[in-house]
Amino acid sequence: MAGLADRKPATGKFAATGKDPLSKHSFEEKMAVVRETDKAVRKTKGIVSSTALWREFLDRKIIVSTDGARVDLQYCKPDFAVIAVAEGGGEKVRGAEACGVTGGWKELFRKGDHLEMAKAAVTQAQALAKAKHVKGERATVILDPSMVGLLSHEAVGHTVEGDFVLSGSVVKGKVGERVASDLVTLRDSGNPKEDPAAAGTIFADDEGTPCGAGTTVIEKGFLRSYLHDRETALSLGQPVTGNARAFEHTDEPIIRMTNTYILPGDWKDDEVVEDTKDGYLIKGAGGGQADANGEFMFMAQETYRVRKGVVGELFKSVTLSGQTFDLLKSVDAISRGFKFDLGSGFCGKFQAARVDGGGAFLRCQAILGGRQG
Amino acid sequence: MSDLLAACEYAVKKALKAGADEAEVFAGSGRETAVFLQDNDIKIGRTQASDQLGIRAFRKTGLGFSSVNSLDRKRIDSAVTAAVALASTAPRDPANRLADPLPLHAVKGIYDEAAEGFTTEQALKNASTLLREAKAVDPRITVDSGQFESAIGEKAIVTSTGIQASERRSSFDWFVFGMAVDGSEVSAFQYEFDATHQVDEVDVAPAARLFAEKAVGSLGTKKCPSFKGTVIFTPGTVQDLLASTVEAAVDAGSVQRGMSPFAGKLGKPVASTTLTILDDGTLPGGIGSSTFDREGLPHHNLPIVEKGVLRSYLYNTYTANKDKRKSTASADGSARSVPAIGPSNFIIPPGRRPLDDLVADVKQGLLVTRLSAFPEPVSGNFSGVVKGGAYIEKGEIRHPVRETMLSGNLYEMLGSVTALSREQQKIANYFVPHIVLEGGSVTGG
Repeated sequence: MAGLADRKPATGKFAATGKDPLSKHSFEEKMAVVRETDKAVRKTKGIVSSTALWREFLDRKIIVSTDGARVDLQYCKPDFAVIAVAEGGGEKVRGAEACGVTGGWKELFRKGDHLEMAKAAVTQAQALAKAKHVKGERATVILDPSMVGLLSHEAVGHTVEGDFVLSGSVVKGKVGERVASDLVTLRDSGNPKEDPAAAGTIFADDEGTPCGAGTTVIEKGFLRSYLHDRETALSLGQPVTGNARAFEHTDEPIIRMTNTYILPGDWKDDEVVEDTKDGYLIKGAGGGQADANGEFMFMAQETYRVRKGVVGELFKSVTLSGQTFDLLKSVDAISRGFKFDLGSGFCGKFQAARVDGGGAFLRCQAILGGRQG
Repeated sequence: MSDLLAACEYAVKKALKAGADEAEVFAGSGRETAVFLQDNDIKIGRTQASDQLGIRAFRKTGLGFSSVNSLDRKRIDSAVTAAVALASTAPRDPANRLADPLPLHAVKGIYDEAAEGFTTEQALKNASTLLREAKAVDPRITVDSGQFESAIGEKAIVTSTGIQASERRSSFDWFVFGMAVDGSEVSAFQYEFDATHQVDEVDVAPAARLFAEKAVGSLGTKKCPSFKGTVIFTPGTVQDLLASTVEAAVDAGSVQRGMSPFAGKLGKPVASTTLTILDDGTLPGGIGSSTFDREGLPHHNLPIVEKGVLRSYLYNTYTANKDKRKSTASADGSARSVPAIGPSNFIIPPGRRPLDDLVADVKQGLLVTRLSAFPEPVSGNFSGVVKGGAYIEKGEIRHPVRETMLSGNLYEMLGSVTALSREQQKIANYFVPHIVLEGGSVTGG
C-alpha cells in the first residue's frame, strides 16, 4: 500500500541547547580543553600517541508540510573523545573514552571532566597493553550499559526499522510473538524520560511527527512494534512512530533510531557479577554491525574473565557475536543501574545520524571471537 | 576563467586583505540525479545542484578553516572573516605552509561530455535494470535498497602561492544491498557497488548479478569447526578489510602520531614478497583519478609496497612539511573540510594462478566473501563475523558457513600472503585480486 499514514503534525518551537549553552563558551576555551587533554595523555609514561577531539553540531531545522506540520527545532549536540595509544607485547593498543549528548557544557561533562576522561583512556590503554587474547568460545557474558546500548541499537533496532521489515528482516510478521526473555523491555524514544540529554534526543522527526512518549518495541519479551516513517506505518498497518530522520536538507528522511534502550531490572549491579560462576564481563562499546538475519558483531573495549563471582584477567581485541533473538531469550539478569552511553559518534545508515543507546548490566549467552591455539 | 575559479580567486584576495599570510581556496560545484531503490521497488528520484567553497587561512603559522555552501560573495566574505579569525587564535605550527605550484598534466577519461545529456529517464532505467537483474538471478532475492546516481561537477583551487587549477568530471555510480529469503531462513546482508566516468561504460548488471549470487550463496549455511589455517579473501573482502587497514597504516599523519605499525619501516619488509601495492591517481578513466589533489598538486603512480617492501607513506603538504619532504599528492577530501589523506586508485597487481587452483591447494580453510569486522588500525587486531563465506576442506568448497568468527592480526597476515589469484576485480577505485593468507583463527559456532 503506497501513501502516507495520518498523524498529528508537530507544531511549535523547540530548543535543546543545555543549561550552560556552548555558544557562551569561546573557541579558545574549547581549544584549551583539547590541548590540556592531549598534554595530560602525552605526559604519561608508556603512552606513544594521543588524540583529543571536540566536535559540536548546532542544528536548526524548520519543517512545514501540507498536512499542518509547522515546527522550528534547534539542537546542540556536542561530543568529546580521548584516545590514548600504549605499546606492549610488540603491539600498539588503544584506550578510548568518549561522551556525546544533546545539550551544553554541563551535560557533556556531567560524568567527569576532560582530565578525568584522559586518565580513564590512559588507564585503559596501559591495562590493554598487558592483556592477552581470549580463546574464542560460546560463553556467559555480562554486558555493561554501553554494550547494552549497542545491542539495542545495532542488533535489535535495525531489524525493526520498517524499511528493513518490508524487505524481509528476520522479525517480519512477528509482532505479538516472543522474541526475548520476560526480563527484556526495549524502547526507542526521541524524548526519553530517563535522560533528556541523550544524544539522540529530538522533539519531532524530519517529517514533522512529534516524538511523544516513544515506542515500546519489545515488552516483557514480546515484539510489540516496528519503527516507522509515515510510509511504512501505512504499509504495515501500525501507528507512525516519529522515526523519519534526515541529516541535512540535502538528505531525504529515512527510518532511523533515536535513543534505543533496554529498561533496567531489579538486580543490584554487583549482584550480576557475584552470581556468575564462569563468564566474562564486557565493558565499553566499540564498533558494531547487525544483519537482516539477526546475526550481530560487536567490538568490546575491555573483556574481563569472571570466575566464581569475581572479576579477573583482562583480555583485548574481543568481538561478540550471536543471533540477536537467541541472545535476548537467554537474558537471565538485568541490573538497576541504567544509563545512556552510546552518544559519541554516528549511526551511518546511508546518512549520518546522532543516536544514543543504553541500559543497565545485562547477563546473557553469546559467542566470543578470539584466537585458536 | 570559470565562475568557480573566479570565486576562488576572489576569496584568496579577500583573505590576504583580511590579514592572512597565506590562503588556499578550494571549491566544488555540481549537479546530480539519483534514483533510489527500496523494498524491491523504485523508491524516489532526486536531483540537486550544489556549490561548496572552503577557505584555509594561515596567519603566523596558525590555521583557520571555514566553508560555505554558496558562491554568493557576501557568504564568501563571512567565511573568509571566520577563517582568518580562527587562524589568529589557532596554535602555531611551522608545518602549516602551502605547497608551491607544480606542472599539471591532464588525466584522461574522467570527464565524458556525453554525460551532460544523461537524462533522469536514463537514471531511472538503470535503477530498474539494477533491480531486475538482481531479482532475475533467483526469486529468493530481496533488494532492501540500492541507488543509481549520475553526476557532473567541477572542482577548482587557487592559492596565494600561485596554484590555480580547475577540472571537470562526470561520474556514474551504483550500489545494491539486500539479502535472500527462503521461507524462514534469511541470509546475511550482501552488497555490491561500482562506478565509471563514461556513459558508454555504464553497465549495472554485473554488480547486480554478483550481489544476488553472493546473497543466495549465503543461504543454506552450516556451522564449521574451529581451526587455525588458510583464509582466502575475495576482492570485496580485500577492498573492505585489507585495503582500509593498509591505507590507515601508510597515512603519514598516523605514522607521525605514533599510531601506525609501519612507522620507521620505509625500505623494510612489511608484507610477503608476493604483495605489491600501488596508488595511481593518473590511471586513465580511474574512479580515483584526477589531475590534481585537494591541494592542487599533480597525482603520480606511487609504489606503496613493492614485493613486500614498504616504499612510501601517503603525504599531504602538512605531513610532508613535518617530515621535510615532498607531498605525494595524497591530499583528499572536499571543500567542506581541511585536506585529509587518502588513496586515489588502490591497486594490487594480480598473480598468475586461477582461483580454482588456489582453492584446490587448501587442506582446511575458509573463503571469505564478506567479513563484518572493525580492525583496530593501530594494532591490526581484528575479530569479526563471517557474513559470507564457505568452508574449504581437502581442496573443495564444502558449504556456506554461519556463526563463524575469524580473528587474527592483519599486519601479521600481510606477511603470510602466499598467493594472489589471476582474476583481478575492479571495485570503484580498487583493483584487487583474491588473496590467500595463512594464520587466520576460525571459531565455529
